[in-house]
Amino acid sequence: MSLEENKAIIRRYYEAANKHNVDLAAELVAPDFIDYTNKIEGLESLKQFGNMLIKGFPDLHWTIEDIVAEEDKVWVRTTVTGTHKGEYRGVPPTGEKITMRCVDIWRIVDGKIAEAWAVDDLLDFYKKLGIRVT
Amino acid sequence: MSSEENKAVVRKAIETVNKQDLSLVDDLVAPNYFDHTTQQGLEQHKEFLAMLFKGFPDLLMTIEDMIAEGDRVWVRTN
Repeated sequence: MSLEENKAIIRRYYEAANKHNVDLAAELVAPDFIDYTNKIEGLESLKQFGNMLIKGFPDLHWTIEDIVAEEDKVWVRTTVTGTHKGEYRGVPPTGEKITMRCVDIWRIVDGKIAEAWAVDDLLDFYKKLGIRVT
Repeated sequence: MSSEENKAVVRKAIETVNKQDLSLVDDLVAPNYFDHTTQQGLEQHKEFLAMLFKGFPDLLMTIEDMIAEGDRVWVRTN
């Protein structure tokens, strides 16, 4: 797979995420997928994570700000926005609009997303949801 | 500059932070440097580093992963 092909896979993943279509997103992901940051292992776990996000933030949207690739990895800088309209991890809806700046790192093996790391700026997210970080 | 040369510059910059040596910053950072996230230029960046070193004298950045394309280098650190 070329670097541009790997980038295209990742762009399709965010498009599926923006459609809130977890099954379409999962088609791009390897069965033994692992996200080291969000502690996600396997497709079912990934779909549950996606559905939990969409339930909490029904207008959740990812904007790709920048994307680079080298060898088998694609790094993406995103701005993620959403409104907290549903329960999220036990926090009842606050109606707050949140903005997160994130860098997602993806490893692609044989045309499927196999591994992920995330570096997220969650300060605004925690503040708006009233979550105290200790 | 090749991607590998650009990575070497960033590695040196992170080593500089780990050495807490502000005198090395000018060799690695352009006078018109601008951080788009914090909206800060070189002088403010140096002030920020000085504040950081004062508050965290054992501050250590560990490079976990690094990638480069074109004129950009991305680093994942702890």
